[in-house]
Amino acid sequence: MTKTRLRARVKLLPVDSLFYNYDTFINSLSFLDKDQSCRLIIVGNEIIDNLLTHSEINPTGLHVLVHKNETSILLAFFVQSHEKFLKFSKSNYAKSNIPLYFDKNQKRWRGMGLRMCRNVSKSISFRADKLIDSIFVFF
Amino acid sequence: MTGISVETQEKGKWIILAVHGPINSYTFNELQEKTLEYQGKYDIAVDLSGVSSMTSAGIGVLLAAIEDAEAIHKRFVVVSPSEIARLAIESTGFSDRFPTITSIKDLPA
Repeated sequence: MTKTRLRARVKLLPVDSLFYNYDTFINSLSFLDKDQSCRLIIVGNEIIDNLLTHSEINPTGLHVLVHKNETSILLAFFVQSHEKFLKFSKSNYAKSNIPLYFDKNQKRWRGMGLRMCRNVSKSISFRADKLIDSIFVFF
Repeated sequence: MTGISVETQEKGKWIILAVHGPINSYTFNELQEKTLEYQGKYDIAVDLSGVSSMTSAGIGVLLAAIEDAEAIHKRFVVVSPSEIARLAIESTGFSDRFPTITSIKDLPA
């Protein structure tokens, strides 16, 4: 049996067009079908949205890797390590689904984004290291 | 495209908001402002056929608009969501909260 391994990577800078650049990268991957591209865009946009909101993408940028084999697709994000990410990675949010609740102060649903990511993927995990923070999503 | 555009069209009791582009934390304000502007004055239909991506920020705007409409006995529907918008709505696990029609032609009177 011939093993097929397809991969691509990109470095994205924290510029206004970051979402657009990510979507363009994913849509350019010919080894993904439409449904797979949609899932990677939904998860990727949610992750980028949160990284930007918490100022976790510095000028060194965000590195994105997509790796597809016969059974799964890996979408991985790498950014320079950040204290907020370390705190988040140890929280219950990062480990499992917690009930959604409406934050009246910020007028937004908390936990919605992670729920969306988990529901369109097989698994998502967060790893905070001294130099690099990583997010691994399997589809 | 890095931002969104929201085109408005009046049709009887309805105001149709046609959204184009990505809805995320950096773009949702325009959609939110439009829904707030027309809330209470019209029934609202949000056409998502031109949406290229949608994060939980966009979902939150839609949910808030749906709840606001229900509270004042107005109607709110999502129209013809793009594949990615449909999947984003389904991924919340409660897509039944988003009344959806396939075409503007299907808007009730």
